[in-house]
Amino acid sequence: MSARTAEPTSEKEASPVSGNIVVAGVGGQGVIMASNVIAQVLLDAGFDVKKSEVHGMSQRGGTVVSHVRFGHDVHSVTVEPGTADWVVAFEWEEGLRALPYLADEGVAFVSTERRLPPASMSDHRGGALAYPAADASPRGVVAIDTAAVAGDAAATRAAVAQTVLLGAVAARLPFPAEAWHTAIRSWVPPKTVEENITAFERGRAHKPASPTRLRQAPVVARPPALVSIEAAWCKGCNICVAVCPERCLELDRFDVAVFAHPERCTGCQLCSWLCPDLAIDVSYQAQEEHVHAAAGPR
Amino acid sequence: MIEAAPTEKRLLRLDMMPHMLCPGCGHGIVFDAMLRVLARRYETLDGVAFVAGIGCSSRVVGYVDSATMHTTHGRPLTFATGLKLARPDLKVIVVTGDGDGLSIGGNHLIHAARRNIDLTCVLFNNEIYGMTGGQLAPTTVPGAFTSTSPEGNHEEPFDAARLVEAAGATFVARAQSFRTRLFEEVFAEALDHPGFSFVEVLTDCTEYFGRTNHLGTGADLLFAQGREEPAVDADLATRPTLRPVPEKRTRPTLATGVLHRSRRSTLEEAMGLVGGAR
Amino acid sequence: MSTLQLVQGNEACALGALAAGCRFFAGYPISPSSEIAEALARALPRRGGVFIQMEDEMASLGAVLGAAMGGARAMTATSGPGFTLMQEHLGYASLAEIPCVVVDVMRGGPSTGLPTSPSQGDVMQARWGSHGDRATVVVAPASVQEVHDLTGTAFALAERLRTPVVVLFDEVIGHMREGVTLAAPPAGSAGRPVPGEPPGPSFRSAYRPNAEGVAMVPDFGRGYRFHVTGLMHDERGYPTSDPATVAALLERLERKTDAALDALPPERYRLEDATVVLIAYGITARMARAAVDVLRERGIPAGLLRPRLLWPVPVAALEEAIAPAELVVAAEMNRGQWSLEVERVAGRQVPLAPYLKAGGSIISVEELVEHVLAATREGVLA
Repeated sequence: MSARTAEPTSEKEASPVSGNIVVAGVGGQGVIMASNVIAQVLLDAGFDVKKSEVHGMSQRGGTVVSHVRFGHDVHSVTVEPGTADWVVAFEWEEGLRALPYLADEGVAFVSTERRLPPASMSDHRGGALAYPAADASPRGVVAIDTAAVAGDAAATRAAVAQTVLLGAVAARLPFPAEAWHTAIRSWVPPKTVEENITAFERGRAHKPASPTRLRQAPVVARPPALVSIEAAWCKGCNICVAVCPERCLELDRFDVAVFAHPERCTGCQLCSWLCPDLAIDVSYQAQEEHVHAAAGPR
Repeated sequence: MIEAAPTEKRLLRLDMMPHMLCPGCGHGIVFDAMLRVLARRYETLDGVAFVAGIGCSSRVVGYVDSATMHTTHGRPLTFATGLKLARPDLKVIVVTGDGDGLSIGGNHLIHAARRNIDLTCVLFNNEIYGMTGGQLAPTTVPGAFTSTSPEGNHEEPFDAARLVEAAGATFVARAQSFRTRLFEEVFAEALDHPGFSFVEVLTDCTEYFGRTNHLGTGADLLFAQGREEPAVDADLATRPTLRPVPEKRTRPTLATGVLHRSRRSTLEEAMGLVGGAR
Repeated sequence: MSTLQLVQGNEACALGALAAGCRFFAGYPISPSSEIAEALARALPRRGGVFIQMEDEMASLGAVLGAAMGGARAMTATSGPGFTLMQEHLGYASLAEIPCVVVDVMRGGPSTGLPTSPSQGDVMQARWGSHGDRATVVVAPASVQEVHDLTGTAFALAERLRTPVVVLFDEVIGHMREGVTLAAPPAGSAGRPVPGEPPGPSFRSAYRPNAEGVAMVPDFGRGYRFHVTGLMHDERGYPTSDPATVAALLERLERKTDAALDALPPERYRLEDATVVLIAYGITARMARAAVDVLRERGIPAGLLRPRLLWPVPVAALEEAIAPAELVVAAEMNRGQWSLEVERVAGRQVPLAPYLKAGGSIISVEELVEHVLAATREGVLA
């Protein structure tokens, strides 16, 4: 619908002659793999395809962006702001960050999954996060709860849920499902092929509500930072959870450590000593406060 | 909240946090332990300077609220040598990694040890180049897979502690990221030692070394250290490779604690920069 | 207070450094610069300074930069191959704005080349040897006296502009002995800029520039806690990759070196009515000056422009000297380096007949005169 088409025929039959796709997410989500799949489908369809990536020092948890441009003859390798026909974002904040790429008629498929990259928290100690004003967002943002759409396909490997987004994009592009299946088979690890294709098909069949404005999308509230854990610094490595002899700590659904069972804590400090993120403080004087803070409504 | 807490966090540049290390990275554990030792000795770090090279380990100095210098790849000891000689009043701590300190900067390491200049050098050894994407290091155990040893490493690693001792260091210790209390002890002793003090600390790269060699999560790697298990997964030998891994070996169980301690004139003493000669 | 002495060029460099307040030298032996290190190895400890021979040239400049961050006026000296090894740290010093003086006594290259023969082959290395768009300040003395004096100027510029300054001369000047008046350094060589605000827990402006565009970085260990990095950084000294911040930083680093142009204008010799303009620096300028006199005797209205600052290029002074010229002869001991800058400034309007000589021997007055006469005869002067 939004790619420049040869003739303004009906949406389904229109064959795009060129287009720009930006795939965004954080390290470890499979952004590169997904953009490889997209590029493969386009290449197999006979397009000239250019794909370039921004990653490297970002490491796991950092921003990864891949640009895919296709057409009969593509020169520039990167997508200029305001020219992307599709933005595919595997992560909610990365979706916001990538929105400036979107063309007026473009559509962004944004997963509601939240994986806060460390850099985005630099100036927001204590877990409070600022968001762009809702009305500043462009049109055409489709928020998809990828985990819910993927369902049991992502039961063993959470990352598979993001393949739903590929399906959502595929539904707007005039290439047969078989082409996508072939590309997926050639790029995802062999033992994850079936679950990825299941997730892809569920994404293709998914009928999102009409393009959602950002303010209608779920805004995830971060839990209040507990006294002893600097939530904004925690990268969810699970070490504290694993080393705590009393099993006091848990990761919440955002992979942030929480002091879930303060009543069991003996103050041994192992969690603090072995936290790679310097996020945990054990303070004996503040023990009472910990209990009260943790025992409050959550 | 954290600002008010009477902890080592007061020595951090809070506006730089959270740090850029990967989830589960052993470097963060060692860094925190360093700060705890320093927090027991210094209210603020005005009399201290940190000099680091290039790599994941070297990046930690940027988070310390002190005089911090992030120099060039392999050369932090050269900057530290000049700084210490020009300013013997400063306590100079050098942070380096196994690639930075033993490969590109190996020459400077042995010469700093030979000179017995009064520096404390902490070498974070994670057996890999993390910052550049998991390439082979001069400390990688034979057989281990890295992005530049796809058939398994064919080379023998340096024993950093023995190398530095042979070069003339007067204090040599080894610790692990898992046993943070041991690290704190030897780091504190290193700070007290007059002359070149060297602490090698074995840490884990979860994202590159751990993942590439099927070693599990950051917690798994830590527990393996605790059990003194081999640093390379036994199943690796059966992994399909271009050709078989030659003589599958693992990181040996290395002695930890203070490995060497002696006393001779420091460079500053010999030059008459300290001790009242001038 | 001044005394006339017979001094070797390399020794004069050491004496000039000491007079300018140099208190730290780190170096590695290399011909033909080693006498600078040897002289300072004797002199510095007696004056409360530090001399150290490092394990290589990278280490030498690294130690110099560490000492400079500690507050010392610091220097190293080397020759071509060692200068090559120092390039990464020259880039670091430029970006991190650490004052230092690097002396390069040029010898024939590439590679080990001609270790004991003169050359002017490092002119472009001094400009472009380190990667990236790096602003550079390079001075080129032409006599033993000037080696002494310009080494002092180099320290003054390095401190004021917080940038590495390269002193570039060659084997002949380094090993030549001449009568030198050892005067006190000129007044006005104030130290490095200091921060405008007191130290404190909220100090976050180590890389805030002063009016001259020079970052006011405190010395280490003076109560300020701050970060120094070879990464692109903001005014706090913290790493950044924000394109606008980085572009502004690079622009400022380049702009601040323009101050060197006013501090060290070129020497103009018999240029008032000259239509044949010779352009030469360093050892070559001495022969060019004599050649001007010979040419004048033969009725050719020759003059000499002698830049003492090679980088940044004194474009205005070059333009002024070239404007009335009917022939421009840039002479240098290489295959064409600074003469390319002359060509760039002159454009296509002025006939150019550069005299380039690489091979390890200096340019003689006779061959230069002959070259100019031939260029005139052959109708370059159309």
